[in-house]
Amino acid sequence: MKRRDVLKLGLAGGAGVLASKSAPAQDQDLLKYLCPPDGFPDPLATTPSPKAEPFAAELFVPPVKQPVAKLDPPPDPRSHQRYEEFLPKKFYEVRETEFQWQYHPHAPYDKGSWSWGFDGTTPGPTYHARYGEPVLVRRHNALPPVGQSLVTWALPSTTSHLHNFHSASESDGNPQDWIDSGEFWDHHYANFPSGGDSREKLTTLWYHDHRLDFTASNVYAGLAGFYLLFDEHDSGDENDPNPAAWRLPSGKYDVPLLIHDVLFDERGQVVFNPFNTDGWLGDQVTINRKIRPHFKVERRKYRFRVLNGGPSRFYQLFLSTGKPFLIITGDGNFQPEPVRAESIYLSVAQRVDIVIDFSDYKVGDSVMLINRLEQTNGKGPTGRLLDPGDAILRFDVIPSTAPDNSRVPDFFRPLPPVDLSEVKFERTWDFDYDGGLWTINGNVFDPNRIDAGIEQGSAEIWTFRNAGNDWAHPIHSHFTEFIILEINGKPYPQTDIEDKNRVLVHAFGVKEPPLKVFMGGPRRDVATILPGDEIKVFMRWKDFLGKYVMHCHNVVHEDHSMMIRWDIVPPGQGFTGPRPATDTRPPSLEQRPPGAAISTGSKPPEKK
Amino acid sequence: MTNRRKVLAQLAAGAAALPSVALGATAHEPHAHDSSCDCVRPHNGPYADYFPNVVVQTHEGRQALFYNDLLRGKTVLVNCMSVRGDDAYPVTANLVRVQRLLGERMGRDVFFYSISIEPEHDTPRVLAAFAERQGVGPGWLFLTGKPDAIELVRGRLFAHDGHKHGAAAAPARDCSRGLVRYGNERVGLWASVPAKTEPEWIVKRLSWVTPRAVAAGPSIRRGPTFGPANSSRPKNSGGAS
Repeated sequence: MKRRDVLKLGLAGGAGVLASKSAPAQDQDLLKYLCPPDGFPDPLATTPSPKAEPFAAELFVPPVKQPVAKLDPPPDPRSHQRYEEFLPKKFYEVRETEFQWQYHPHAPYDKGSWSWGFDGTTPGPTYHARYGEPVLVRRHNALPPVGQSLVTWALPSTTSHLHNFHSASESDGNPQDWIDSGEFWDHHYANFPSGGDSREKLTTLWYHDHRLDFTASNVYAGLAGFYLLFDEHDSGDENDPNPAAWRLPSGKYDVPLLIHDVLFDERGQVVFNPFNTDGWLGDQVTINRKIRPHFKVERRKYRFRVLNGGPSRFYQLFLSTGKPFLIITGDGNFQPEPVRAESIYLSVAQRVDIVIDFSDYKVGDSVMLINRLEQTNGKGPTGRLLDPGDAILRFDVIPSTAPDNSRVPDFFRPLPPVDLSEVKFERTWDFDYDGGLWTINGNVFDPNRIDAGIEQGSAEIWTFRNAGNDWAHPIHSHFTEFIILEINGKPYPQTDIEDKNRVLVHAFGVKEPPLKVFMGGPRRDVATILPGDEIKVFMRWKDFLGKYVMHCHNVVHEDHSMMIRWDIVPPGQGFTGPRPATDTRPPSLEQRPPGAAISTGSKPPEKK
Repeated sequence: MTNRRKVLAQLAAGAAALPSVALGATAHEPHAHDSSCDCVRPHNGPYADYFPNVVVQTHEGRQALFYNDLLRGKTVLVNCMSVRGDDAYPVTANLVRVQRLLGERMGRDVFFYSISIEPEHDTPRVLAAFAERQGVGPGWLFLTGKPDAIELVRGRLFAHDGHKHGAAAAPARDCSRGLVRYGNERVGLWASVPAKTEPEWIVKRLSWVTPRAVAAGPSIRRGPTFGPANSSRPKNSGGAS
């Protein structure tokens, strides 16, 4: 007998007595199993996504965002710090929208999955920015409001954070600086390095949503993309006649790769479980929102900007050929010189730029990017390496169409110096768990509580400590990178790189043998604290004032409150927190219309 | 047939004398039948298949179907607690402050559910006394029931794989007591807020998940103003090029 039949029988018998109060006591527990949860994946043992043939999808390369002549209404200089000093030379206007995105060409994915993105794509368009050329990006929230959006599990209220960027607070995409449907926010990106020091320059950045309580769901829905910074060295032109230019692979040979793992239901719609506090794993790894795609590459050099977009999975990437990667950046920072490594470890939000020279291969060859890191729950990887692992992207080598003039120089730029005399405060942050909440120093996020008052122009030493032995946290602090001083009590010379067991294995200048694992290099914006880890870093804050956050970039942990607010304050006014914020109102130029939150009375969206 | 399905079959076979009075009229409506679920249940919330529709008991001494009667179509706050646990880690008092802020909206647009994870101890009578002591008003139900039914509910609302905590004393039963889920099951939009968050911010969150209309006309500017009239304008004293 089918379950449906027995249940029908049961109900048929029971319907007449539902209203009876005189039922025997021993039957009191019968109804509890009447309709157990069954049609939605168990939060910890999910129903797999429908099968999708690997490498059937073609890689999607997000378009490069083009500027507009002017914005209407014009930007308000009063909304920005140092606007007149860094007048925008280019203006961009972009819309967050809901659309059907085809993750894979075969059923059930072929009809599209309801997604969010920018200008109709996910990832959204890639910004090409240059140092010395300030820009202003106007972002409109054109998403359908709550009750009308077909992505029901994310919040159509958004704030775009430019991860790793040296932004003024009001352009940082703070979690409390959100816009609702029908609103816009101007983000002013001054595009100068911290303190004007060219050693502080950044390279591969990404933007993603950061809405209070909804970062995981909103990013997972599709609100992410790349923002690339160029200068005279990394000029974005492999034929650049300027002798200072590094001539790295450029144009269509410079390709961002954004990794997300996604779970789908039987209709190919994206599934998210907001009730899981560990972290959320998908079983379909997507690159630029295509399931395990292929990418035709010419027999020449390519630059790939690999980014782990989360929400919770960590990766350890290998090439199927067994050859080492040639690594040029970690977390968006150029290494002093290229690094060779057999594998790349990427916790959530970490980036690495690599150069692969496909002239090492023959036309018709295929090279696969393989993730071998095992992860069975959202809390973090097991540390075990799978064999053979999961092939997430296939490069298919085709003939080259033109000479390859790109190069990889022997040296890039030195790291910013560590000067301990700049240090004003030392702070320790303990990352732990308490009663369903992920905590920092025992606290949960409160947008009106400042946990650190950092003096503008000063440096500090921060220690990130994982108080748990069962989970990992990729810790990210906004606005400024850090230089690692110590890992688990051992000094970390800036010239060295550690392997996954936190053993220093490499000094710059030593070419052989390649690293086993590249963890991100000495300068990062994500401190990956694996169980029991303690990482001590040096950071400096310059140029702007205002509120920022530091948080776990397993964004499910962030949404379960593993985040603190810190403020940059004028020199001499630094403090150790907590301290209440004096102005608790999210400032705004215009009030939202009263009564905007009205019931539409419309029927709830159909189950997709 | 899985173990659970066997249990189901047995239970269904013996269900000729189903007990209880469910809350409200909705439980007696004809049920829609969705092809993706071979179980009869009203199916008008995106997480209808996710939540157990178990019988729970309220502190008012009534019985309810957890999904049909309490969640379906509603905007809710849900937390797990116990009367004894609330002494050591009080969260109810803060939610009482939220209740006061919501005023007449309680029980009309917003419902609170506090699920006891010590159902043997927290009988309806114990919960009723606790609710009265705390000043709990209409629209807020404390729920208890059969331990495995309660555990099914807790496991769905507060899903995690367990947290080993080294030597530190972790509660024997981690009910995510620091978390409150808030959601609008009519839409299918859920999130969580720390239980001790300032009441104003908890109320604010309920507006986030409320359906809204978008005003006609051009996009509205948001953002700070550091105009001369505003003394909070940041002054820059650090130097950048």
